[in-house]
Amino acid sequence: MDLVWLTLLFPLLGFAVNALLGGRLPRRAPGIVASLAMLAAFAVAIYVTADLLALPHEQQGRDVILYNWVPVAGLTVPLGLWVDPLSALMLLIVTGVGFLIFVYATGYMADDEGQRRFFANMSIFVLAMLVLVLADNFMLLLVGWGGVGFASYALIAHYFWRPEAAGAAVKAFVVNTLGDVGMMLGMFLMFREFGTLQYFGRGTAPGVFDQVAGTGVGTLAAITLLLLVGAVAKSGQFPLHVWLPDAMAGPTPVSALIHAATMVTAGVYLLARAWPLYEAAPFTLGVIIWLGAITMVGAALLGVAQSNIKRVLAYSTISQLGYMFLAAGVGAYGAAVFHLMTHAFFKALLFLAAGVAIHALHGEEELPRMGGLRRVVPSAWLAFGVGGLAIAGIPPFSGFFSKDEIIWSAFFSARGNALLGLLALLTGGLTAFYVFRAFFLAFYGAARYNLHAAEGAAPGHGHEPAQEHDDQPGDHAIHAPSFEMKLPLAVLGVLAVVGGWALIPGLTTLFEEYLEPVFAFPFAYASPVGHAGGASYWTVAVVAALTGLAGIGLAYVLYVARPALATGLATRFAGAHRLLDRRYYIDAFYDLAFVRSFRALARALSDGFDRLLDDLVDGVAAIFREASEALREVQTGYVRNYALMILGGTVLIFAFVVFRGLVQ
Amino acid sequence: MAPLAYYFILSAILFTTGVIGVLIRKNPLIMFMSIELMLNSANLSFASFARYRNGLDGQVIAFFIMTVAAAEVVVGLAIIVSIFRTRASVDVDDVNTLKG
Repeated sequence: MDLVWLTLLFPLLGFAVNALLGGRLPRRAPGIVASLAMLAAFAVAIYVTADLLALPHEQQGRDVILYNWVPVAGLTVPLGLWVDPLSALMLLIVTGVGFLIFVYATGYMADDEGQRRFFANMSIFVLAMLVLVLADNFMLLLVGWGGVGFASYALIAHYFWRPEAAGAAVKAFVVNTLGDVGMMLGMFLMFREFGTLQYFGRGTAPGVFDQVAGTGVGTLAAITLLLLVGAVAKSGQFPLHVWLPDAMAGPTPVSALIHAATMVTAGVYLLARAWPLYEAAPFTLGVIIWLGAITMVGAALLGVAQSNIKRVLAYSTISQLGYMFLAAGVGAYGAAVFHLMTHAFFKALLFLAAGVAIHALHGEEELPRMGGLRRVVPSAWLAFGVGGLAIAGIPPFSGFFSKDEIIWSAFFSARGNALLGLLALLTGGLTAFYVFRAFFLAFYGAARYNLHAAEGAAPGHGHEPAQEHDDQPGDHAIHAPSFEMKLPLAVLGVLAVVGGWALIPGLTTLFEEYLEPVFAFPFAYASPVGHAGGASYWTVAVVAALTGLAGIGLAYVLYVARPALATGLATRFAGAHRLLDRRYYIDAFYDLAFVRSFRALARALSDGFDRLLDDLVDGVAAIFREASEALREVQTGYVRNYALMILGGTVLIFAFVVFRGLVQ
Repeated sequence: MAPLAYYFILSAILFTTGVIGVLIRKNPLIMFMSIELMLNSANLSFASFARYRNGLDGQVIAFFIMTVAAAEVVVGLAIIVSIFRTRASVDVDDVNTLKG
């Protein structure tokens, strides 16, 4: 367990080798080096987890302190890694799913000129993410928090010469920084209140979570709400979700790793990690529940109207994160973490499958220009289908178990109610519908793509412009996925199926036991409050699965059996369609309220205030210029004029002396 | 011995002549001669005072002034020669490069 720091070292090595030596290595080396580093980190993660699980439950929580990072009076922050089942699970997900995506990326980015930069940034992302999940105090957490934000910025802007990619990167960074500021304020308040930033106490010094009891409700609400701002920004929850769909301008492996499987789940991780704080702040829990519910339904509706396959998945991610927030809000932290894990599997799978389709079509991402890909890239068809069934919650795929856990909690846990449960159920149906809408549009029907036109046209394509000239004029064939792209699909596909089997109520309790040391009541249905009354778990599960099937069926009818019906519906409900198409006008509102107004303010300042300052400075210069203009007349250049002046001066001084002598 | 005032009147006449010479003549050599005139009028005053007070310090200062005057003429003539070489003229009104 003391070797856990090695998981940080390997991604750092991957970064260092790529950043410092990458230019001298062979063309494909950066991806291989980075993938090997990830594999090593994953191996260490497995070793650490095994080590942890060998301990008795009550000892599963180890503080591995590397050194004292901030030793100032009144505040001691160590560079410490907290290893418990929750952080170990995150460690496994980040390194394991990360490794698969790295392998995939070596194939996906094979033709990219910026491979070295890409893999260096990916490695630094993993490093930051691991710091985030392993930190044993809020300050170190914030270091990882900011680090993943930066890495995300750098990777979204991978194709930085495209204005939309550069703009999306800036948008992501600004929104995330907004969250960072909220977190920082929360930390300041926490330090003032508790005098420490450690999660758990060490020796005689109590940690933050040890001091929750006896703290004022108002203070706790303020702290948790400020932390929540960070979580909402990072996890793309309403109203700070706007950056996540735009972030799809990055390469597809980035979307899979950062904007689906790991970074965006950091907010959920924070809620789960700081559950003792949140449990003591009922007001904040209410906010979390409703933010999660609104996000879950709103983003699912938006997913229905998107034409870009990656944007469908982006809104799906936002919606699924909303599920997790809802679960955390109603107290089912275990269910949130469970869904976080299965979501990492099936959403990464969906993104990678979409990436195969996009890669095959030379960068085409628009669903209306796909179609009929089932026979062209059967591996992507199979993977997307498995991922789709998993996210739709069809048994026995993983999403069925994790999502039903949340729906049940929304209905019947202590803070849940029927409305929340129905919303969760409805969103489940919507999820199935929009994912299979994308599935049917992309993989069934007639082929609508034009490889000649698509070449390098759409964002997210794995070629740089210079590279496109190397293509043979006749290279308009489908890009078949290479082995290193198919392998991660296979592994993730298996995980997306079996991942949910870790917790089947009444059958397996693996996951529940695993998380038992972390949460006081990992699963809502296991908590005494939740258990009283309410339908049994399986009733809910069957209804949810039927809803999912209905969603899939509807998608089949609308997009395969009778496509005319879909266009008819879109025109009949043109207003609703436009509302969804414009993303509830939230982006337009932000654009108006912040971007445009700040531009207007800046222009006003530059025209008014700046002009004033300019004139002041110019005025001072003008005064001296005019004065010297007048004075230069004295400088005649004639020696006798100077001599006369000397004479005049002498006479004046002499007269002064004499006159003064006379007066006295 | 003539009254002391006579020496000062002569000294003042010499000094004024020198000042007018510097102010109205354009030839630098004449101007130098005028400056010498002013310096020597000062010498005359010093020597007169020394004689009047029976001291030696005034006489000594007269010698100092002669030395300084000689050095000043050397430097001045060198400047004039240099100006003549570059401008082929010694008229001081032609030397007005620093006119503002």
